[in-house]
Amino acid sequence: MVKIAVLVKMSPDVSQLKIDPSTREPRLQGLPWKVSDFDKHAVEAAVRLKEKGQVQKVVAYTYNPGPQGANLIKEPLAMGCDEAVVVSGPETDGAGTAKALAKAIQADGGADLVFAATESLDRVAAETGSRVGVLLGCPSLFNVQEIQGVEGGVLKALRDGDPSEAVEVPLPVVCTMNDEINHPRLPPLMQILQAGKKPIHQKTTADLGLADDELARRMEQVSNLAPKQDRKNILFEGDDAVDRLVEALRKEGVA
Amino acid sequence: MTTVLVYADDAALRDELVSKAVGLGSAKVATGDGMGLPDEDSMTVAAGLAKAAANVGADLVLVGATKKGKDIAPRLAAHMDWPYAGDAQGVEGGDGWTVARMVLSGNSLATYRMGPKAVVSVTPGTFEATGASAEDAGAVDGVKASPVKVTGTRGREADGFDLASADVVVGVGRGFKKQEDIALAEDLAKAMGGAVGCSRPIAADLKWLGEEHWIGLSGHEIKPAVYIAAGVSGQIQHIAGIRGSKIIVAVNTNKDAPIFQIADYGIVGDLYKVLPALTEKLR
Repeated sequence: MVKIAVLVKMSPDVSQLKIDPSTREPRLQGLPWKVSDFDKHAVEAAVRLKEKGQVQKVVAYTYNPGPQGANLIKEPLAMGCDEAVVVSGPETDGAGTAKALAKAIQADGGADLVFAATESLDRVAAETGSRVGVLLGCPSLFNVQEIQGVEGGVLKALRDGDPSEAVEVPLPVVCTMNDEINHPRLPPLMQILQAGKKPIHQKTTADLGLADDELARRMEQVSNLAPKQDRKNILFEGDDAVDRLVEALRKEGVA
Repeated sequence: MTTVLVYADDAALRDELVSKAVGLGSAKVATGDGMGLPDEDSMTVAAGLAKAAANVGADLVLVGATKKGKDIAPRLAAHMDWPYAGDAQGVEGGDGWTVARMVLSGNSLATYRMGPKAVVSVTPGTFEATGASAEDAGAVDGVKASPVKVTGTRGREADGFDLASADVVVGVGRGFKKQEDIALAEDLAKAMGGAVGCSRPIAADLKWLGEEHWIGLSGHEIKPAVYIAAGVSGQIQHIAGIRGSKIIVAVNTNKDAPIFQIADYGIVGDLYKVLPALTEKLR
């Protein structure tokens, strides 16, 4: 039986982010949460392999999924994951998150493939999948653009690069991906309703044998400000708008 | 004494990082050849760098954030069990390492304080190359060959087209009603000696233009002298890709489109009228 572990992160919906114009601080409070966009592409890629019969089981793993996690974890299940594992533990950094997820996968007997987003919406750290690969002692393919399939214990895929590389890797292997790889499905209502009945396993890092000091943060965000934008914000309206724009561009020396 | 190990798979970027590293401590530089690795796959380089970092007693490893560097660096961090900051736009020493990097889909610049040991990948162009040099970190032993077998390569579809190097970019957004209408943007770009880019939906959903034209967080980051956004609403991911433009011009029928907030000059109007008029005047 070939099993895929899909790493899923919940994030504030950054597309609805507003920046405080006076302080330049991003207003994160009150933003709705969602499954981080690229993670849905990883779920979709996994579910497609299951539908092709090349994979038999897909399990979603998430760490500290946030205030709306109990509801949001149903989304990958509705898309076709068989089960979900929700791990809770102390607030940590990328290294700690990867340790918790890798331990949770190991506790379930490991996985033949681990699919994850290249990066998340909020931290954009682009590290979790790669770290999980090292912790599980397996290779990782960064930013996979296509998955050809899994056959005879070998994954065939196209890995991003200059130029991109067609690769073959014996399982187990970690793949990270972004929105180039596919279009995630919108699950029909029936599947959304049924998702609530699929198994969701709750675990703590303590259950997994991880002590809090192993997960202690070693990087701390000390400030977060939108870059200064000194734009002129000059609007032209009316019949002579194009003339005035051309004049302005000529004055700037760019036309 | 603080020791900084540098690796980049691009020579110019390596020079930039070495120039910075000599100011942060004792600088060493590792290369695939110098380490004597069995191959230069990312798995192998990451494992080799972990050994090199231990050999030279590194406190910080700076990796050039090329596509390959962004693959190598987090694996290296996991091998070392060190924290990692990716695509950094600034690194300073002092009490641990202080690193600046974009977060929130490219909309905010966060500063992180990291511990005394860290792996950081650095965005190309962040530091100036001064011609400084660093001692080679030397060979490493016992690194296994990568299990990843490369069976072929595939270039990006648009050979030679490079949006990032265009001086003028005309951006196509959802305000265009049909694929054929992109000719209006092409005409303007031609008149100004520039290239055509586009927003996410045009490349990813409608596929009216190839990915090489895609501007934004998942596409290309551009820094032209002039960016003309035509019928582009200004989604936060698009803005992340155009922030470096010297002058931003927006054409949109919707006066409240967020693109106007980041524009130097804007025309509230129909791109189907504005673009041909602009082309005529700028030809």
